[in-house]
Amino acid sequence: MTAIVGTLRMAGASTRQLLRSSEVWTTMVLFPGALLAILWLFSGLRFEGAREAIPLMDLWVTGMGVLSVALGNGHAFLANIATWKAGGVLKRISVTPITPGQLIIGEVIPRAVMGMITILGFLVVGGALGADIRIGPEIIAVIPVMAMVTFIGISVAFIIAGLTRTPQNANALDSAISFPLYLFTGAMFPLSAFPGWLEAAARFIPYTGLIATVRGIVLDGRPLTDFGPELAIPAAWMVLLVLVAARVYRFVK
Amino acid sequence: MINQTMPLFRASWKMMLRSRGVIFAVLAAAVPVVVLGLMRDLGFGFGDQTLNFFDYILPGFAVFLVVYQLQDIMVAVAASYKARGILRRLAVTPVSPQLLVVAQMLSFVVLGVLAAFVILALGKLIGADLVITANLLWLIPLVALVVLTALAIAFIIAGLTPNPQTAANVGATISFLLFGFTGVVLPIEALPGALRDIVPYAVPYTALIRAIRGIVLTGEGITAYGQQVRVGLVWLVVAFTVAGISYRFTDE
Repeated sequence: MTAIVGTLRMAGASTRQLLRSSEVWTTMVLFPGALLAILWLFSGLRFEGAREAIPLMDLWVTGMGVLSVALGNGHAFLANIATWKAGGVLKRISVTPITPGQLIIGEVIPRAVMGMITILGFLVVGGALGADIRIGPEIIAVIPVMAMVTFIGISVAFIIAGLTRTPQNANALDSAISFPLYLFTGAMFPLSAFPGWLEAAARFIPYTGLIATVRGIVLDGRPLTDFGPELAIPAAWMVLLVLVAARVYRFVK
Repeated sequence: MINQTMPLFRASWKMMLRSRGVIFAVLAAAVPVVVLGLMRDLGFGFGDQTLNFFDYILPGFAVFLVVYQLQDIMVAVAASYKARGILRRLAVTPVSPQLLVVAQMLSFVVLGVLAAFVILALGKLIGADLVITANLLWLIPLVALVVLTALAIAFIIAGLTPNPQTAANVGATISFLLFGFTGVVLPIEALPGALRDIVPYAVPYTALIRAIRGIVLTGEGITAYGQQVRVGLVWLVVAFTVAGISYRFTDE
């Protein structure tokens, strides 16, 4: 009981700190707001492929919106845990009544909640600005998908922080990994425009199925249960990433 | 003056080539070009117009991806010079701070121009419909203009922000907005109403990127883009003037 209360108090303190941080307002409000403004102004644009035509607004609100908020959140979280590792913060915490696990969970909870609120807000505002998004009870089905997106982002952050020696290297590796994700997950461009072999390979990237699921729910009104294969791949990734993260990111020696 | 600048330029160039960040910047710009080249059947539609997506974005990408990275690096360098008082210390040595900055800018301009040509050549190899004529040489001054304007903007950002962290955040936000409104990826012609006429004048690089795209895709000479070049030059002067006011080399 004391451990739960302690963790919740840590989460409360983290939330207050995050709300005061300019980095959080930049990644959670400024960038999504700027992206929505750009999409609204270019709402007449559409991608035209051999198999389909899709408005830029629909594709980017559901793709870039989801991925940029998730990656922005993971990037900021990585900066924290890489600094904790480099500064030996968790080692020092381990000899206090608070455990390193509590400190980390206290940081993960507010980030995960803020990320999900931002994405839901992004979808709702995107819908209001003209994206063909269904704003109704079905949007609740997006929440577990976004929880998976956030979980994967945070696991990847732990792995990067574990594999690198300094926060600068962690930042560089994260940027190197993030950029191709925008290209290959269908976040920016329709996957159907890729050659068949690349389209098939891209489905094995953890975020691809999750973005397809969010699109299916909010653009086509399909139920979550329609997306078994799309969710199975990221679910397998989640297990794998947690195992690797636990191995490479040591709380204490 | 030139006697002092050239050794500094050579040193700056060597250091840049040894830096992993700069090499990564150029490689990172080449990867999306290859990926986008795989989407040859994709088009951009607005109204009743359709543009070939890869042909449209390749010239803009060739310039902007490298410029984006160089501007980002220069923001970090200029903000860290300011935070650590490096230029103030340099001011009491025989090398002037301005000379150091000029040498560094020169090496970035050379790299930007080379990288733009590498990316265009890569695009052509994977099937972009570019027109190869002697007029392509006009890209050298045009790309140099874009890079110089970007570097001046980096100094404005570093000068107006209190620390390197804030400078990095502001720099990333400005780059993102430029990405949206310079016609790099999204056609300015698709903007609503008067915006499509205002944006080429109101946003730096937009006019120059239009000229670069025109020369690359049609083979026209620079004389067809006199208006765009004039707008680019005005932006360059404005950016350097504001940079000169906002970024202090020394306390004096």
